[in-house]
Amino acid sequence: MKKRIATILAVSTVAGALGYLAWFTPSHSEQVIAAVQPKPETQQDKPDKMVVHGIVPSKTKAELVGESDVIIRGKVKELLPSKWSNPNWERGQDVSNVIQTDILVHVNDIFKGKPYDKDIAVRIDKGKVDNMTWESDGYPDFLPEENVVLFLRQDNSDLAKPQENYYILTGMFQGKFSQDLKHPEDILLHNGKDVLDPATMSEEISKEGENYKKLLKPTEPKGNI
Amino acid sequence: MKVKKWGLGILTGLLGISIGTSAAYAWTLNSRGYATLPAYVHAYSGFSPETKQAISTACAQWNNAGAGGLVYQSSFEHSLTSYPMQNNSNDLTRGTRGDKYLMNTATLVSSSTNKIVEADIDINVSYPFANDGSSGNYDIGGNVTHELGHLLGLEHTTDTEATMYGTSTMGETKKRTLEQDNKNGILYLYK
Repeated sequence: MKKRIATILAVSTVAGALGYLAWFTPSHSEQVIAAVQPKPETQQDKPDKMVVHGIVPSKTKAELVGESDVIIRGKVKELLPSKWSNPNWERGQDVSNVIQTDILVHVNDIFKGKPYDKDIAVRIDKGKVDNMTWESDGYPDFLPEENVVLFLRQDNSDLAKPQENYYILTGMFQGKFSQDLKHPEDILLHNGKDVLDPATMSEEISKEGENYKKLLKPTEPKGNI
Repeated sequence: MKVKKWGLGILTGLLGISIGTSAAYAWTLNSRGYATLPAYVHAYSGFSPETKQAISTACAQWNNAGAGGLVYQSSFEHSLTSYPMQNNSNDLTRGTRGDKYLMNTATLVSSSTNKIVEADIDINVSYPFANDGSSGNYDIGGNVTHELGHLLGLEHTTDTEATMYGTSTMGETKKRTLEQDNKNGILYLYK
């Protein structure tokens, strides 16, 4: 009996692999990269899309709570027009050129800290200015009227603008929890990695805050690598 | 009893097909690859000799993947600290980027060809990095190897052992060496 099951498993594993690879023969593989198909050669070969890929440091819930200045529940009011990160909001020469978008969120509940206003801006590094699109796999998308729980902090990057009022997401995509719109029956909030239960969220955030205090502090960055 | 046997057999078969398909294919693409091979990457002149060596070793990993010479470290270095720069040069930089990517690659993609025409790689030194694989630091060599995969057109893979897997932990050095999944992706693009 065991020998028969092992044989079925082995044969079906090989069959699955062969079938899958066969499906990915050049004629079918075009479907796989449909998203990266070239457009017809009707326009000039001009780069107009910046795609940013990278490694996002994984953060536990305790780290999300401990490293956030503000944790709120609210509703997305508006996605403001995207801008270049430079001081004059224009694409520059010999400077970092990043397209950023401010998401305006109305605060309903506060779990940590004190937001600077009832409506706050959350800045993410993605968007579109003129014909240039900036995509980034580390940031979540936002929709108007979307209910969200956000883990936020002051911008500690070299692009920070201390004279402006806004926050950034703690841990990039990990700092936004929302309902899975494809499954409205699911009341839990997701960030792509962890879940929060709205019924017990307040207590959980307090508990994780205590857990964070017990964590070993990470190695101090040297910078001069 | 017979029904039970059949059920068990079908379930085992489905499990096998599932294992087989996931093992067969995990890599994905972010584009149709780098436009003009080989690509040359320019290191920041302020990098330590160990970091420059790690970059060179990372290039060699991809060049030994079976698709020929794909990416080399240029002898010309730069002194840029801003990132990303659209200057027709693939620059490796470092900077204090705060609570953002650990390391990332910004690829400038042509809409007409869907090929990468420029790619800048940045190391976020707001996080601890080292070349010695020490437990309290992120590994420079392994993560640069990962980013060079993005420069060449690969996306993140679901294979947790592969260089192109999307997360990294402190002390992890396994990304320094390419797994078969990474090679399969690069061979699809360039062979």
